[in-house]
Amino acid sequence: MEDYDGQVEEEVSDIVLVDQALEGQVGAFDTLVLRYQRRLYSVIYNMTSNHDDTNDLLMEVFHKSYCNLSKYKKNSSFYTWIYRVAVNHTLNFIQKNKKRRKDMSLNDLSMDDTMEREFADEGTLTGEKHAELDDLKNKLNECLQKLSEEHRTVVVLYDIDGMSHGDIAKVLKCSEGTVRSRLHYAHKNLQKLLDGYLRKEL
Amino acid sequence: MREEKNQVTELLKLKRHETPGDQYFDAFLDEFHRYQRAEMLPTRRTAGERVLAFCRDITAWFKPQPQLAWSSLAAIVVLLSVVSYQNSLPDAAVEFAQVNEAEAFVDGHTVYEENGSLPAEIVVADYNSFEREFSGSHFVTGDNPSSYDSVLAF
Repeated sequence: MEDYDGQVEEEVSDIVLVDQALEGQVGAFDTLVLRYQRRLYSVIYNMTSNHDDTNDLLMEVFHKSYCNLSKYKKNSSFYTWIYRVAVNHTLNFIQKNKKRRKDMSLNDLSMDDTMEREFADEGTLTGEKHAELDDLKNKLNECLQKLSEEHRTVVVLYDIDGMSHGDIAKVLKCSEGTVRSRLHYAHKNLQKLLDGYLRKEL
Repeated sequence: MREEKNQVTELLKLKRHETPGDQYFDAFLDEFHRYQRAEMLPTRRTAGERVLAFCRDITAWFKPQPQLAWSSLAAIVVLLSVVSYQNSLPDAAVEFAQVNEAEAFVDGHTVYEENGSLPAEIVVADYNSFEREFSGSHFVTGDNPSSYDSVLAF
């Protein structure tokens, strides 16, 4: 995976931290939380498109991981394991709240003010450009929510989080071929949904 | 087509910057500790809350499968009617229980027949008979029989 060059070194310390946490060292798990909070936030947020839900889910994911730390088998990397916990927990949440999510307005899906600032971290954006970016952000979130959960998950993990096909296959417990096929159809669907925007840009 | 696909990928990459900012992540760990403490504390619920939670769980469980709810209801009704029918029968067990109740006053040598039927004759022992006197731990003070803790016996 392109973004995880120092993965081997990181994984060793992850396992050491897990061992320390299992021995009862409080700070060890805190380090793991600090290490993965941003990545997991991004995954959960892009699957739910709602900050409040993401915040709750992130807490639950870390708590669940902490309680089930003894079940982590060290034959896979810790980050694959915690990603799997996060993805499965979020998918369960989405399934349970399907009705509520259907009734959500576009405003519920969009980011709050803080996030908008981060998203448009240019500082020099004109009013028109800012409105365009806003529009784009809403459209992207809307299109992502229109994808099936399986397709959305692979898009989030591959395109947004930058995971490799192999790692996604490990997280989702499926073959790499399945991941590639889901990605292909997900991109195709997104192209259709974003058709107007892509033409404008071209 | 290829260009469009690349554009989709590029657009999606923009979402990498969609984060709530450092302030949120700086405070997250403390927030998580609070959450963990709250989760680990045992929740105390009143009886009413427990009943409500039970009803909610049952409703949630049956909601996606209404046919199961109806069949369970039918099973409960059948079970209740069978129980009430059994209760309405003249019960040999009740008679047996009445005999057992009287057993303290019954001659200890009465033998029940092997087929489980009631003895042909129930002999009620005389209150001051030999059997009565030695059938249990009775202490007599003066003229009146009374029971009390054997530790206190004198």
